[in-house]
Amino acid sequence: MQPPYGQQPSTWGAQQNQPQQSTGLPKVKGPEMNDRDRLNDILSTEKYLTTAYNIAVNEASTQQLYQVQMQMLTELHHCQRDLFNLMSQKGWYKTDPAPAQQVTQAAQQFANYRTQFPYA
Amino acid sequence: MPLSSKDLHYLKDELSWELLAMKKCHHYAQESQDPQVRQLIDRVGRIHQQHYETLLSQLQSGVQTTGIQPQPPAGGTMTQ
Repeated sequence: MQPPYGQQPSTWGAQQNQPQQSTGLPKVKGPEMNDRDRLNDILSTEKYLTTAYNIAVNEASTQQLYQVQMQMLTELHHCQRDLFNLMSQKGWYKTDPAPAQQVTQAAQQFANYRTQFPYA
Repeated sequence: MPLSSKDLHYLKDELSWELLAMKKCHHYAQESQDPQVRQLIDRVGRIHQQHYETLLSQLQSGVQTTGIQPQPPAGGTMTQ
């Protein structure tokens, strides 16, 4: 599916009247947090942490610290992916497809740029 | 190998974030209605706790090595 990185759920902040079949969420939502909110919040936390670990990895002074933090960064990415997958499966993380014509056009455009490649 | 002061700053930050994250996951997992949601959040929380232990051991191994290093006097007398 589409990469979630750098994106918030497309319905972020606007959980409007989408049919939530079999999610167990109430149709009319109150101020209390629900499962979707909780997953969203954990996902945000993971995204924040991966950004932070990335900087720490770049700055690590020893090979040992580099490897340890790199390993944790990878695990957090996996957590993030699992959270995204579950949200996607529940229909809580919708992504909208790019217009087909724009995709075709971009693919053509960047294929043409191959003429600029410096390596044979 | 001794930790650099930058390493120390990052480790302290990371330890604080991991602690907060595991607490949040633990709390949310208990509140979650859906078993799948509860399970995943619980698993993520446990990973944060493991990370905390890993980071702490890095910090602790830094205690021994940096303890041997002679500390330069604070303030210094090199200038003036």
